Amino acid sequence: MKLELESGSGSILRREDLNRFLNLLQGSNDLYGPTRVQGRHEIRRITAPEQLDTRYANLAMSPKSLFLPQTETLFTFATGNRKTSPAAARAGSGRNILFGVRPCDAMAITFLDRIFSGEDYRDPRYAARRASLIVITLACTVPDPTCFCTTVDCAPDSEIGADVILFELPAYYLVKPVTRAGRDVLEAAASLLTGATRNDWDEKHRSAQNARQSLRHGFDPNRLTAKLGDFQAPYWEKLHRECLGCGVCTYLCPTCYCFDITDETIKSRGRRIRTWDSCMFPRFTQHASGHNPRPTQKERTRQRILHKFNYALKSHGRKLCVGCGRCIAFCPVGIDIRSVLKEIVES
Amino acid sequence: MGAAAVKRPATEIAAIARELLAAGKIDLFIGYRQTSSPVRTTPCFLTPHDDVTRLVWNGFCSNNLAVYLTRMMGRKRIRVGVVAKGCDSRSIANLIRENQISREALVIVGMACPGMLDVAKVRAKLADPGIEKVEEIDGQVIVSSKGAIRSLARTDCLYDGCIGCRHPTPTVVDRLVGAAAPDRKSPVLDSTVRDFLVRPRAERWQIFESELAKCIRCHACRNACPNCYCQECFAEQTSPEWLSASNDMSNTLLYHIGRILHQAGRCVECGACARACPANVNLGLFTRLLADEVRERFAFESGISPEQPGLLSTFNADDRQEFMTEPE
Repeated sequence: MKLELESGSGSILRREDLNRFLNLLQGSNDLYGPTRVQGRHEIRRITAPEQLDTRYANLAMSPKSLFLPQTETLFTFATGNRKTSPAAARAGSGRNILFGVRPCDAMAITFLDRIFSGEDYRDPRYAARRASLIVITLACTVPDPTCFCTTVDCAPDSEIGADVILFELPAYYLVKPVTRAGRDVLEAAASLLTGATRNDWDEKHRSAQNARQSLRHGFDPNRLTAKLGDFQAPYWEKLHRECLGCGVCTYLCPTCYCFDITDETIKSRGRRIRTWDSCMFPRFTQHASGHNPRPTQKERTRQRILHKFNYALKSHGRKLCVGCGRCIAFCPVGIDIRSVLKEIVES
Repeated sequence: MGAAAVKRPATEIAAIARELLAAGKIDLFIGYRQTSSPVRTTPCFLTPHDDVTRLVWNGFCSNNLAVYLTRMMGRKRIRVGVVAKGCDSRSIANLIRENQISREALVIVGMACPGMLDVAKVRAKLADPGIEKVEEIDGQVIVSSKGAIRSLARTDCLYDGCIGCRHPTPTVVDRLVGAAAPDRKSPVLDSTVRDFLVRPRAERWQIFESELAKCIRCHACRNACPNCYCQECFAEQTSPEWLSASNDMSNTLLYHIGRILHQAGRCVECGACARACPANVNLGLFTRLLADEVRERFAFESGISPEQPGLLSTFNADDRQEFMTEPE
């Protein structure tokens, strides 16, 4: 069948055909998808469709390491000869298909694109990885209690950042191509797809509405921005007390992108690497002099909140949060960003 | 005394906190309060005039609050009341022994601990993971989700590390809440540790490596540990730089081996590191093995009292030393 991009277009995929569908899309491409690892779901390279498992509210880890690796070699060098050799970019012309991310994580990818492949700056390695990536989103039906996407301008059925989106309905998937690249990749599986009717879309809207209704607003997003203007507000004295200063919230966050660039040298050979970094770490702002402008967790917590909900709004027009809730679910001491922001709003 | 006169532990904690704060005996009280989730508590910091009724006590009070003592007391002249389970009190005893906090500035509200509940184990027994309410009555965990009510045996829902707990009652305590449970003497290894120990060396190394391959170097294990109070951790030093920022295997192994070995004779097996890990690294397996090794070789357990000499700062002529070999 012919796949169209117009709004309301879409196809039906029988649930039992999902693995065959992905197998057809995979073709000669690499497929990354959700699999169950020790009781939870993580994105892995899939070599056989049986490895896939889609019974999760969300993936434990965000997919960002696929296009923003935790450690990346920029170039290698040898001391003495003043020459550097750029690290080989990813070889191969095939596409990478990323299946099964939730709408929040897909939206987060567009935030990272803006940083690493936007108008101001284009990182060739990041851009190459992104250009080869096809994102197939799986819309949410039953969000977790830690989810709050609708509070931060995302939604259980958001299509932003997806090339293709699948809506999971009781008997089948409603498949919608979102981008031209998404439509092209679906051609390979056209034999499994049949045209969707108005009824199918009605069913999708009902399911999305149910998912939305199960989400609660933990804080009033409209009142937050004005409240975050005060750098010296008394609440900063209290909000950080529980925080242990680990990197869980930032490393699991699908939108956190801060990095460090360092050299690793062994004898006369070395490499310059770009690695994830976290504003929650003391070394993040440590000066060579020993002075640290963010000496305690108070300043670090303030930075994290202001960057996400104030500075990003000013410089990029959006909050740096998609409401995935990982920072809540995995915080070692149970800090809930919704409660923290609520306290700020109501201060 | 009739049953009606027995106060709920949370009420008793609140009464102690109110009394200590009002009498000016402490400046800060650290306990637990419930989050918006029925299966999660978070540390609760109370100063005079704060609402003590926010304090709770249930099977989800797993955080080891001793970790806050070095941060909040340190060299400051601040007097603190703190809620402590058996393991937490052993951490406190260690911190006093290692001269990190002052015993005089501390009021320890000890809890006779029935073991903490592992939410993952609770969820695994439910058809619907969305838990709305949890009650703990007489060794049962009664879970409500979507109108369905399930009663689970508490012993089936405990953290691995709590299963073999030898000191459920605090070893150093000022005010005890609940009836003291006797120490358990017999070594009880949970199945994960037993299963690991019977494997050949190559396989054990393979498990060690594959567990640590999951590490994302977020340092939550270190930051959640009361024993890790160094002002500057070797993992953060830049001159010399012991560890690169890279998360490759050699750096990750060095970080963990460094961290775990510094726990020899100090780890109280509270499991804070393992619970803090977002990457599901089974850190408790390694620290429990280490503590077991210490028990077996030196008949030593850490944190039994603040006066107890440290394992690594004492020498005994009878210590086993088969690792000392003649030069070849």
